[in-house]
Parts: sequence; C-alpha cells; structure tokens
Amino acid sequence: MKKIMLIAVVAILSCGFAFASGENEKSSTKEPLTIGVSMRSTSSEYHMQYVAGAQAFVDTLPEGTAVVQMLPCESSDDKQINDIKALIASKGDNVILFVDPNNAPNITAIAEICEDAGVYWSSVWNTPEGITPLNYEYWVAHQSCDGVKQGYDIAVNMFENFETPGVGKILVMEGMLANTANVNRMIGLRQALEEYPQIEVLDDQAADWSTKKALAVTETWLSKFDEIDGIWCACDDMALGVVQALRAKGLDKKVLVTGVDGVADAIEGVDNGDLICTIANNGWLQGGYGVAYAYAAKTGKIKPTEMSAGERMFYTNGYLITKDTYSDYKANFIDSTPIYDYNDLSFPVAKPME
Amino acid sequence: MNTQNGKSQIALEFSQEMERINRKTRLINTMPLIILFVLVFIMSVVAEGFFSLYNFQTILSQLSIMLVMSMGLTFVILIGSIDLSGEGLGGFAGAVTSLLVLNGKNTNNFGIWGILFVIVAVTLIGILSGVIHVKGKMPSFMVTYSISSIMAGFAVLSYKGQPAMIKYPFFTQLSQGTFIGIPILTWISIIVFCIAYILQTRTKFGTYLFAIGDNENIVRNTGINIDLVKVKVFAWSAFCIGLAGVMGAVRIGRGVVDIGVGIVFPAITAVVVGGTSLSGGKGGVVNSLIGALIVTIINNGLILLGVSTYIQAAVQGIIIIAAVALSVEHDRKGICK
Repeated sequence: MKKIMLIAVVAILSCGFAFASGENEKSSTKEPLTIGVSMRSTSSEYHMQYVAGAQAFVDTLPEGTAVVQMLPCESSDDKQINDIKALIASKGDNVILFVDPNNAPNITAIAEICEDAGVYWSSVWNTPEGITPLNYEYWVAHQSCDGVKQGYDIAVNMFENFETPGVGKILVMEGMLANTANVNRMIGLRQALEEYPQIEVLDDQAADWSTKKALAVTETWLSKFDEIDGIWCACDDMALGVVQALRAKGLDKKVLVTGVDGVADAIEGVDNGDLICTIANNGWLQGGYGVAYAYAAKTGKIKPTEMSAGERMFYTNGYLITKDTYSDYKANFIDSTPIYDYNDLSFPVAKPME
Repeated sequence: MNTQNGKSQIALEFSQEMERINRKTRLINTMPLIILFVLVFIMSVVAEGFFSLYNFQTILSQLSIMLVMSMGLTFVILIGSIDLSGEGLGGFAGAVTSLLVLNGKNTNNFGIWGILFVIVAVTLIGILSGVIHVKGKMPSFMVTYSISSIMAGFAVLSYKGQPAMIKYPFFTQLSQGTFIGIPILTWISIIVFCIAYILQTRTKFGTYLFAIGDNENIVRNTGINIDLVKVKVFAWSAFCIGLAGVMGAVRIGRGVVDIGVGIVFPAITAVVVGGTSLSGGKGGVVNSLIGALIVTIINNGLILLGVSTYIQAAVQGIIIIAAVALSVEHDRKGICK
C-alpha cells in the first residue's frame, strides 16, 4: 500500500512539474519584454517622469509588447546592482534597461552585468570619466542634461536679478558630493562666479538633494549671516526646503533662490516668486528616448557598434523656467503631456558630448 | 584579635571599593551633562552666530523632531529592544497627513481630524509590531525594520511620486509660530518629554521598563505580563514616530517619504549619547533630552563653523564616539537582546 502511495505521489509530482514547465514554456513565448527603469527613488517627482516617459514609449507599441518595471534603489548603490541582477535572473535577455546610476562608479558594474547577460540598456546622468558606451556592445547610449550649463544658467539668472545686477552675497547648497550632476552644476556655478567677480560666496554646504537637510542647513545659516542676497541650490527639492526656512524668517521672495529639475512645486514657486528660476530636465523625454534607444537596439533597428560617438553620447536640452518663460512651459508641459516621435532617435540630441 | 582585624580590613577595603564604584557611576551619569556644557562653551567661543537668540530658537526648532523620536526610542531601548520602523513609519505619517489636510494635490480638508487619524493609525501599526515581536518571538530590529520598509512603500504609493504641497494654514502657524520665544513645535516636543517623564517616573509601567531591561526573567517570575508591557512600549514608540512624522510635514511643508529618512539614527544616537544603555535597564528620558541637545548642537555648530561637508560627517562620528565612550559603563553586560 505504501509503495502504491509513494508511486502515486511521485506520479502526481511528476505531472505537476511537467505541467508547470509546460506552462512556463507556454508563458515564456508570450511574455512581454520587460523594460526596467532603475532610478534613485519613487518619492522623487522627477524620477517618476522617467517612468511616465518609458510608459509613453510602451504605449506607442502594439498592446502586450512590453511592460515597464520600476527599480527604485533608494540611494543605495548595492540595491541598484542587486535589483538589476535579480531582474535579469528572472527574465533572462527578455529585458531592456534604462538606468540612472545612483553614483557614477556604479555604472561600470552595471555595464559588465548587462554585457554578460546580453541585455541592451541606456543610461542617464552619472558616468565616471573614461567609462563610455563606446567600450560596450549592449550599453547603447548615454545621455545627460548639460549640468555645467544648468549650473551656469541658474547662477547668471540669479546674479542678474540682484538689486544691483552682478553684485551680491550668496550661499551655495550642493546636492550629493560624488554625484556627477552635482559636480557639473558646481563647475557651471564656478564659471559664472569667474564672470561675476563681485559675487561673494559666504558658505558652501551639501544637503544630499534632501528638502529636510536643506531646511536645517538654511536655518543655521540664517543664524550666522545677516546679509544674504541669494541661495544657489543644485536641485528643486533642496530649494523648497530653503524657501521654507526663509519663509519662517520672513525672507522668502527677498532672498533669491534657484533650483534645477522642474518639479511641480518648484515651478509653482517660480510663478509665485519663491524661486527666481529652475530648469526642467524633462524626465519624460529622457525616460522615453532612453528606453527607445535600448528597444531599437534590441529589435535590430540600430546597431550600437556601428553608431558614432556623438550618436551614443549626447546632451538633452533642459528648459529654463523663469517668471517670463513660465506660461510657455505651463502650456507645453503642465496643461498637456509632451508627446514625442520615438522613431526619430535624433530628436533628443541637443549636442554630442565631447 | 588578628581575625577581627582582618575582617575590619576586608570591610574597609570593600567599603572603599564601593565608594570608588559609586564615584565612577556618578561621574558617568553626569558626563553627558558635562559634555553638553563643554560643547555649548566651545561653540559659543569659536562659532560665530552660535550664542544668539535666533540660533537658540533654531537649535530648539531642529531639536523638536529628534526629541519626540528619542522619547519613544528611550522606552524601547530601556527594555533592551530596538525600534527601526521610524524611517518608513515617519515618512508614511508625514506623507498621508499632507494628503488629508488642505493641500495642493487633492480636495481633502480633514484638518486636525486628519492628523489624529494618522497618529492613531501609526500607533496601531506600533501595536502590531509589538505583537509580532512578542508573540512571534522575532527580534525587534527585524520586525520593525520590515515594518519600516512596508510603510515606506505605502507612503510612496499614497502620493504616487508627486508629493503634496501643504496649504493648511494651521500648519503654517505651527511651523513659524513661537510662544515666549520658543517655537511651537518645540513646545509640542516638551509636552511629549513631560508625558514620557511622568510615565517613566510616576507609573508602574516606568518601573517595569527598567526591571525588564535589567533582567527580564526575574520580572517574568513575579507574574508581570511582560508581553503586554512590551506591546505598550512599541505602541508608545509608534505614537512618537507618528507625531514626529506629522511635525516633519509641518516643518518642510510637503508630504514626502523623505520626512522619515535619517530620523532614526540621530535619535538612537541621542539616546545612547545621553547615557541610556543599549543593553537596557539604565538611562531614561532626561538622558535622552541631553543627548538630543548634544547631537543637535554638534550639527548646528559644525555648519556655523563652516566645516567642509566632506569632513562634517566624520567629525560628527568622532565626537559621538568620544561622547559615548565617556558616558557608558564598560563593565556592563553586552549589547541588545
């Protein structure tokens, strides 16, 4: 009896496995392509624009062709790499990626993982010097906003809007110190400072892109400095914290504040005078075209190894939002969602990287 | 006669040894206060702008959330456990509050009821953490860390990546208002401190905290329901986290999950720097108040000194290690159950 039962159990299990593997085979043939969007955090409005852009691209494909999967790393280099490894382990090469590396050094590890797995991917913002897609077959393209230009543009905009244009005392709020976007924006600020010798930098602190930290740093600054004409912030989230601290001391709209990224609250801040300017990075365009490049390589529409350096590494245009340009931006990006032609892969290229 | 002399000698030596140990304990207990005074003195001398009324208000304002957090954590640490749910739970409280009061994202306007709802919900989650910890026999750090991750996820889901800007006028009054020169948020944290102090010193619950932290088995043998005490401790801690999350939303005026990011470690640091033992049974809320002041003054002073951000974190770490080294007893039992 025991033997019969054992045979029955083995038979049932065998059938189960066979059925299950059959199901897998069947489902794998129909499984849509997974588009992994690896970014810092789902709490950031700007990073969520990547996802919206990727989804907008997917919506242009026949239904059921691809699905978008978010991989938020929550500012952890390890988590970013592990999430990508896990996705590739579960989907094989039926996956493409759009990655915003948490820190520049992470990109090398991601490039190696994707190269080994045969997964096409593209990146945005962070890459260390000398590490480029040109050394890899599956790393299709790298894009970035020109961080140097952004840092320069917001600085000049602020300096020119001081009571005496080009003369004033400023405080500098950096983001994450090792982050490429922060490094480039700081280079832009320094270029602007060289052109405006009558601008004095009172202090420079980093607030890790955090509203909360920027608020605390600004509160402390206000204890020390009586005369402040402007606070240059490397991103909008920090700028909103700065404004909150200034408001508590009745200095909002008197001390000029800049931001970068174009998050909704900061754009509203530009409209009501809390911020003097911000630059929208256009995450929809970055996410949508970032995915479009990887998809084009995956489907054989483009061959990365045959593309020029300028086609694989390029800057995209940001949008400087000031009191004057606010209404234009609102009409094109807030009241309506930007729609792009993802067949034209040259559209997002503002200029090739040097 | 010789035997009697010998006994007297032993008694004398014992008494001297006890006196030496008592002196050492007294010194260790007062060390956090000494460190605080030394820090204030040094910063007043070297940091421009430190010794001013505005900076005093700034320090009190920056202290408020850490103090509320540390009041909850003190009780948890006193019983020899740990609560790591603050990041997710605090972020959840802040994010959901911003969506329930008047805000720029939806049409909700539940006002004070929205705040109460959030704090009650978060407290219930704390009760859940406590029950899982005691009934599931799972380590507290594991349970609370998991709860933190879950709630951080819910927090982000609640606003779908686009945080709500708070338009509730009451929040503006709270964030910018003062009463006799002290920020309203600080008054709230002082009230929480007073409640914690009364709970710790005037109730049986407070006595049980120290007893459980010192030796749980002995307390269990006396018939006290330790599990119930522990669940109450986690509920209190969650209440403090919920309140801290709401205060975070008040301070930054936006409902982002980042409200909770980085609030746990400084609060644990404040508790430990203040002299509460991570192994439980020693310390208390007054110690944590001193610890929170030390941590806040270090952060504030380093910025005023213009210390480069590159080395600020390192300097903070060194000062904290030094403070802990000076204020803990090295011959006590090991860390954390």
